[in-house]
Amino acid sequence: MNALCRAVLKCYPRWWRDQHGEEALGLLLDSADARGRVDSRDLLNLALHAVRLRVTNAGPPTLVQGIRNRVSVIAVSLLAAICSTFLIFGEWAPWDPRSSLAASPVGNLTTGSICFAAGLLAAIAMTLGRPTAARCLAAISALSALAIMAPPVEQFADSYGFTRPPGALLAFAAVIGALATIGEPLRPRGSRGLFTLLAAAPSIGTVTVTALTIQPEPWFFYRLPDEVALRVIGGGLVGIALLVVAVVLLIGGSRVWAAALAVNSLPWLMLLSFVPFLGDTSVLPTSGAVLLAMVIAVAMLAGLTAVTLNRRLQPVRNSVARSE
Amino acid sequence: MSSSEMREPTFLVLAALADGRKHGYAVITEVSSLSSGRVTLRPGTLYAALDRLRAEGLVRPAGEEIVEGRLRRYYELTDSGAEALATEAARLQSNADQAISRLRLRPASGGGVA
Repeated sequence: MNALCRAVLKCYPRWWRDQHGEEALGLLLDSADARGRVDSRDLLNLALHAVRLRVTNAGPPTLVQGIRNRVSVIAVSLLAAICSTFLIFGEWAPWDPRSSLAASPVGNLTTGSICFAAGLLAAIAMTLGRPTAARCLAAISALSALAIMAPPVEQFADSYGFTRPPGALLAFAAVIGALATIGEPLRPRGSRGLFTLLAAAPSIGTVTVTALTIQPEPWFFYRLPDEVALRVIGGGLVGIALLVVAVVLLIGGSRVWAAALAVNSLPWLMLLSFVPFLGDTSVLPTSGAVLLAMVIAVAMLAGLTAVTLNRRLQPVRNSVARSE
Repeated sequence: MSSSEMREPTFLVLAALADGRKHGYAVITEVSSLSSGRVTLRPGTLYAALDRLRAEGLVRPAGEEIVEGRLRRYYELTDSGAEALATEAARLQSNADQAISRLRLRPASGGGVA
């Protein structure tokens, strides 16, 4: 009985166990003595409360919590880049009245617009300083991306004439959306906001430039299988850029942001593992190399900014420390 | 807190602590007793409420002791907590009085025969 109660209490963060752990154990044992057994509903209630504390920013700030929050901030920015790109070039595309898929009752819209709209709204909510709403919208984006791929939902949408974007694309959006929900996407302030913008800039730049190189085939997102390699490599470049920025930030002393960027680079870098399966990789245009140079330059700029800020702030920090 | 409506479990937790300090399990049994068994506080809900009330300055820890090898931490109302409870109780009482006086004015049912 005692062991079972202790096991459930281990679901709580350490700070909570330090504050209430022994007290809660005593309460559970008192309750069990009165009833003759441990009430499973009490244990379930404690477990749910523990989960709630873990997913919210309750308690004193910790390093892991800080990294989670920054992972979320960056992922929301990346989600915004992905979603706005697909909304404009894939779903809306007013310059291309042709539908690459089954005819849609509303313009070029597919069911993917739900996922992309939610992702974009998440970024807007974060910008407006509504982290909880941003987190919920990112979760809706991720879950709707998965739900759209479910055969019953697909059949239901198809009966109304709506098709869906390719599954790999939705799965990727779902992964980025899931990353956005692991922390509180609090709007960064000051120099940290600059870092976030710099983190989002390579992805926005890559997606935009890649999209422009595809003209006059704006429907490449959903239609052209021979362009898949380009998309994959473009995504891989984003991952490399994020990783480079992370390394430079690490050198500059911003460990938390560096860790958050490195986590966010993983899904993008994973795209590179698909390159050998695509066969012809000659589709990588010259602009790819130029783009890579651009994102590295942006990363170096971010790193230099970080180092400069760190050096400028150091005397201030030292004087504050001395005065304390 | 005083300007907004208080949720029933919060009200009952404060009411349970009104007559003196109590430990967690005693608060749970007292809440059940006060609500005639209608409200059953679970431990997670209790600690969430206590943490929130502590943060709002309505409740504070009031010592601890070891009983049969188990830690018991006691909680008590602060002056602000007592004031918030009194305000909420007055609000509920006023509502109840209004409802009762309206019910007295209600025409008798059963074909309009008084």
